[in-house]
Amino acid sequence: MLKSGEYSLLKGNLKLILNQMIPGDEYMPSFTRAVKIEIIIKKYLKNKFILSLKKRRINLYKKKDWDNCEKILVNDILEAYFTSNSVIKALNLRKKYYLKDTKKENMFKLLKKVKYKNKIFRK
Amino acid sequence: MKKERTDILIIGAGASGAASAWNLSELNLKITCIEQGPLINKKEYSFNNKDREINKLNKFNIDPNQRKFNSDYPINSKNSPISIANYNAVGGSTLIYSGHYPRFHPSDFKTKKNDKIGSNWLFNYYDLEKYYNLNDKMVGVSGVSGDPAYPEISNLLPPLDIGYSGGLIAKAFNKLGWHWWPSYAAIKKSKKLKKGIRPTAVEIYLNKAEKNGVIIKPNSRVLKIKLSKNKIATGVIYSNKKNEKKFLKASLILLASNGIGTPRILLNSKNKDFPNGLANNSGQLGKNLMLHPLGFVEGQFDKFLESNEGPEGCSIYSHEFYETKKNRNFKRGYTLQLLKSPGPIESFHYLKKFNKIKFGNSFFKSLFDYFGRTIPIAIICEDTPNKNNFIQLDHKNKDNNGMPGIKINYKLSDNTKKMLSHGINQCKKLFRTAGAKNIIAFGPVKNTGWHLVGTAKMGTSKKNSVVNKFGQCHEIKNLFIVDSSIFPSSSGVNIASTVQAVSLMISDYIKKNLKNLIKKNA
Repeated sequence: MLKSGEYSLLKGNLKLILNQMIPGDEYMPSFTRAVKIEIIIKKYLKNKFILSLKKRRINLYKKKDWDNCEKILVNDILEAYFTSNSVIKALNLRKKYYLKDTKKENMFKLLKKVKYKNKIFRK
Repeated sequence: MKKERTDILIIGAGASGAASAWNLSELNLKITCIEQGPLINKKEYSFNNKDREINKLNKFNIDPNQRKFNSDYPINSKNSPISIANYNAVGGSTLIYSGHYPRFHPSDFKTKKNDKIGSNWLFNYYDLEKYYNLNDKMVGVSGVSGDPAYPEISNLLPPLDIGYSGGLIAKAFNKLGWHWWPSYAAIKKSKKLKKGIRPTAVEIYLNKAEKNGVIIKPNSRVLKIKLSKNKIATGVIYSNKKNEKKFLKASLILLASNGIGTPRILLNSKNKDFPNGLANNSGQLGKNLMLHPLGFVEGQFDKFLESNEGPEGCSIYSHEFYETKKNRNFKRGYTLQLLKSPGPIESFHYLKKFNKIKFGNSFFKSLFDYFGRTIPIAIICEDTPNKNNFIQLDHKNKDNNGMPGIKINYKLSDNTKKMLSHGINQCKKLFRTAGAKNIIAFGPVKNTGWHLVGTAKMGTSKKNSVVNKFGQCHEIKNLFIVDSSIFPSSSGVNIASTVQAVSLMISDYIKKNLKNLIKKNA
């Protein structure tokens, strides 16, 4: 169990780094806008490095800190982010924007242009 | 050891075992389908499961050596450029397959007669046609009739949407004058489920077989098949979930454990009458292993194509280079299959492997330069039988029941290497025609040993084959093999459709000759 001060520091540190790792753009939310940070904290309460962030402020310019976070958290943050409802919604909006001027071909019209009209397999 | 009894025992509840289980379930007999893997909830393996991308990397990983579940056994592929992919569970590899259901070509059944390469089957496409039709109906295969690459295939469900990427590549095929057609897919359209409904062997056959009284026995690994003094199979020793050994007595046994699992059981069942493995006095068991060496070519485009969306598997395919042509430097040929590009998580891991993405400010730019903008094409090359490509028991690496694993010994032939090279060049030409800005290509792809063929081949003589045309072991009359181990050739297409058609044909033979088979062996 963490004391409330320790928990706040840990939460603040993780928020900082995860929003730097996945910062968001015009369509996509930043990490903590898409995923509740508590989900990540709960999963890693027994991890030595993550727990060390309850006692000190993380240094994003320190390569070791960044590399450790990436190595430990990569799979879970990708999974949590890309399966979140807000990111799925954002991807759909993005898709609609990028496809708005793209013409979808009619498959049956394309099939009519297949060169071979007779069978081409060997009996 | 506790003894149990059944009339017909089917070893393996995958594509072929399930088809036989259903077909035989109309008989008034006790039928048991035994499977080393578990029964898995349908929602977990659904294409539409939100966690599908992540599941493909862990619990539904195609590599048994990565999964290491209790239902897996070690498969050593160090001596092979292609490693084996499978899934051991009720439903088998159909739980994670892409649902691509093309048939073999008529010429695939007589490669030796037509092209002086490989081996001929003991029956042809037209003998199997009614079983292909039945299986298509049971599965619910979608597609379009009139394909010039095949004899007429009718009663297909409406074809799947080929999407923006399919349309772009189809136009390129037309520009080049090459054959293409919408693929034959075991995927039904659905308004609610974006990825479509893709049934597995469970939904297609096993549920119906169970309703008819077939007993499915998951988490039960067959260790050995036992024989009487008269060379009649009497039953199997199997290990259950609690690792208790039991004997299951059976009058008729069907092996349906794929081109690796089936010879594994037979090799492990050797006795004084069959010192080289059960039914193996010909020495052919485990030999002539055929895989489908796969080339991968990916075109990257400037515009977003939504190429990751829609039903998985293949949307369009080409058999332009399928049949042997004199002006090429190889015999037989290959299929080109247009696939779906990966989702965002897989895309990240792929880009990371080549140092093309990192977390931080450039994360989304790197990701979206790739995600939804690439079109992958798989080149499935026909393989030919070679006795130097074989599997053997690996006594140094055993499964959790103490049964030896498998070691693969496999090399690509010169014919295959030339075929692969040709396929890659043709795909690059296709992508240039389609306007791709970057093209990457390589092959053979390592983790693609899905289609396991040829290791218990059919033939007329017990001197040089394991089974007859009905999958019946020459030397053990109540032992049948109904999976792709018995195929004399691999074709250049996915094998699921043919595996199930052959299984239906063999089980029909068993039904018609049941009195002789069971009476002789009672």
